[in-house]
Amino acid sequence: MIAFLTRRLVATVVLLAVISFVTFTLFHFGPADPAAAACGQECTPERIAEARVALGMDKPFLSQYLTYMSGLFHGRTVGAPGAESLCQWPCFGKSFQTNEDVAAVLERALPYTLSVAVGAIVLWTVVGVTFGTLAALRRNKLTDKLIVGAASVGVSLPIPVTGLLLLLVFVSTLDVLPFTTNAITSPFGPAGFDGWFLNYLLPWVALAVLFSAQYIRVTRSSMLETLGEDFMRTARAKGLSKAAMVVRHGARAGLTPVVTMLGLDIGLLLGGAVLTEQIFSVPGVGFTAVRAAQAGDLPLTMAITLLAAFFIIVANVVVDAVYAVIDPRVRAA
Amino acid sequence: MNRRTVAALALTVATGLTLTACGGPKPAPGSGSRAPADAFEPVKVGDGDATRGGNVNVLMSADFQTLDPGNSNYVQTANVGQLYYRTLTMAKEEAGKPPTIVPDLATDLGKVSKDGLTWTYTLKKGLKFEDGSPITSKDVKYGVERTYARDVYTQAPQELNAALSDDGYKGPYAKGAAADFKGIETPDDRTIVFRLKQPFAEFPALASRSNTAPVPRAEDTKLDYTNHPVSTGPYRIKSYDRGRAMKLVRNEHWDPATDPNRSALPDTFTFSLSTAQSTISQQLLADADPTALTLDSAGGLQASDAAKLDDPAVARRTASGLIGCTDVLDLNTESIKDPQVRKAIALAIDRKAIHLQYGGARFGKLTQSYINPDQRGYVQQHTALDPAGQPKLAEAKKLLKGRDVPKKLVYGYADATPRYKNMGTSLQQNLKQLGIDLELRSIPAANYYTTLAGKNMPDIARSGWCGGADSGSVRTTIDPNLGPSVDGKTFGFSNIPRYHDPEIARAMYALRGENGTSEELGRKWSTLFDRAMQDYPLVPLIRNVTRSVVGSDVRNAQVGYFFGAIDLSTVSVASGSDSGKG
Repeated sequence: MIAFLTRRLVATVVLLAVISFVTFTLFHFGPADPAAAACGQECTPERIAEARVALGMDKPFLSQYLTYMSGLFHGRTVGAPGAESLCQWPCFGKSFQTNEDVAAVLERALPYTLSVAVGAIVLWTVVGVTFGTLAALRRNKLTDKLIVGAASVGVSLPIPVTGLLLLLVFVSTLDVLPFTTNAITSPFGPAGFDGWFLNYLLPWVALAVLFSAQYIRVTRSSMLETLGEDFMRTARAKGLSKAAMVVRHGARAGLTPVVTMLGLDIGLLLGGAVLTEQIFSVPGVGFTAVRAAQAGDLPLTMAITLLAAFFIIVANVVVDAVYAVIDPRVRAA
Repeated sequence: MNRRTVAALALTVATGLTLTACGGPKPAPGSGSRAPADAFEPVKVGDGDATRGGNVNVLMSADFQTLDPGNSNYVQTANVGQLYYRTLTMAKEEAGKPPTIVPDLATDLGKVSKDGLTWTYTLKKGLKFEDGSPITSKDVKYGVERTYARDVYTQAPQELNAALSDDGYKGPYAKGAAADFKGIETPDDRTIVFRLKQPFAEFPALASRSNTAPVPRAEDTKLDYTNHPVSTGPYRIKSYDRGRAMKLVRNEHWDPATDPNRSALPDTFTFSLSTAQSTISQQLLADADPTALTLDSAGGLQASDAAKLDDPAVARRTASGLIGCTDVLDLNTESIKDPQVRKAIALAIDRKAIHLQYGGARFGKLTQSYINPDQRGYVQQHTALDPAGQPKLAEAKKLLKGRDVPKKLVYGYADATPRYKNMGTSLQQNLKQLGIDLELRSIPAANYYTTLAGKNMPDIARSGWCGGADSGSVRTTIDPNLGPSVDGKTFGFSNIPRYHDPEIARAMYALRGENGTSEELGRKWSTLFDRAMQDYPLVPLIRNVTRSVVGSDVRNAQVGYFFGAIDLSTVSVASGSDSGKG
């Protein structure tokens, strides 16, 4: 296990380095020029050149990249010669838009993204696994057909549609839920659990409609397969109750694909639910990413890309490790 | 305001607020808004209320890009800046009209030498920074010097600097910058002398730019100065949590006797810096916080909110007015060379349809010119365009007879705003009638204006302008948009249509160096502009209107012509609003 983790850790670092280089390169040779963006409408070529110095983009490409990466290991100074300022470790640079420390921007955005992710994940996993298992157990009966039908509808509803519909119905028309506020970022804050819950309920539901549909389908097919396995018949023959059989033996084997999917989705979501955050105006990582990309804010774009990649890679490692725990067959291998 | 500000405005749709003019400050409180005689007449909310105290809660969907007066080309910063920094002169807003330039730190609008090359200002007595130390002419000079460090401050405003002599100066941080800045002299602690390259009749407006906000050299933390700019105005920054909230409290060292321009009625201002835009409009429409208002463009309103503005309860709380920002369609005169072809294109455009895409009369007024009669130096302009915006297809087709008509043209649009793409679709249909195929090409919004200024300028593109350094003068609209380059030999760098008629360019070039009043020189500029416009380098489209809903306790709320949002220097809250204090 230690060898496994070490191997994966090294791979993670290498992968992040590659991703950082690719992002940096794409940004540099892409169509958006941050220096031109910084100086706006009345921008002479001289002014663009000066802006390039201000943003540290006047140096050779490789040296810019290395300087950027060095900030991940120790603090460094940023800014034009004569006006440098310290950027403390871990230095992701300073935002081209506001000169704010990128690490501070992310620190502010993460609680929003976490709030959206946590509830959505719990909601769709519970709904997905419960109904998926139910559908498998009631195979080809009315319950199954209803669940599978609903899942097909859910999976084909994109977030912008569900999101806007939810807002229209529950906020604008029925007025039973509040407009999302950005003052609440945790269930332990002054608004309490209730305030937090109600504030993020709609984003959760919007995400859950889409995701639980996939989870229902995967759970159902995987459970069906598992329920047909020989060891299940053996378990039944031993005299195990149906409930114990499904939970203790069926779920363990049948839910492995669900765990894989869940791990990857968690990683994905922590990197920011771009559409959901936009629609519900939640200023999380995804929301910030869109603004950064539009404004040509390289340091912020880089940091968000690295953060998202980091979450996805870590989620992969965790999934692999968890596999071994739930499915004894993997451990043996 | 420069194009940057315009871009910022245009990006979020245009917002505009006018402030009440400061002059006579005591109208009856709570006079409320009156029904406007015409749809575009400015509407103020609670004009004349004199209640002191309370808190104004400003809702914003994003943090200020900067609060540093030396690094700001943003209208939002200029608006909030009225509360914590003062400049030699001040652009005082009055709803629906260009701002009036009035003395602020200086005793008057400046004394100009006979040759027009020297402007001298005297500081009022008793001016102090927030720590109680006196404001001297050196602090004003240092504030201007900082804005020469363009390799540090990408947003440093340059209108003033462009007029001053000593172009080689690189700012106070450059290596070996011991060399003194020659453009400004400070013979004593209260006197500031500006040396100009050429006469500039609108100089008092240049002196109102944020460059002249005093900055104490010892407190200059460079790019971090934005975190706590030292106050010279009625309020100071008590706390500033980037991206979340800011609180302004009274600056004890501000002396109202030196400042007739700012009513400074509320005790405090709070800024909520990451309120979702949808939340802002909902809260304002529902009057969830009676002390709230927003600086977001277009009053923070969403397209879907438009109908709610008709609700009388909301209408009573809505300040509105035409703002200085006008949108036009630029025709690339280097690729569409024949003025008659450009005229035909202009006539074929369904401007009425474009007006609808802007939200109709609620958000803009169809305009026949880039300049307007409220500006100094305006003379009657002429155009063959239909005032109601209907296309004149028959006339256009007649013009094209026997001419070399391009088969295909390209329309470029900023990709972040759907409206600009939709405009292209509408243009596509119009030009098809003339047998021209229009290709739509998206341009990254962040680089939109530099693309238009560069070699990739498409044949047709939209742009906007909010009046320039002196929005009250026609000159700072005409010269940047259709004027020649600095040496007069070609078109200027922000002349998007690349229009260059040697004769008109020569006349404009000469006019730049002419000595005279803004009014008389302005008339010459307007006359040249009218001549240039007969070649149809651009098609005037929409003058923007801002509507901004405020909380029911907010008074003295007006939409600034320049700010495109509620003018913070005049707002107040009615008594009973103390409950709104957080």
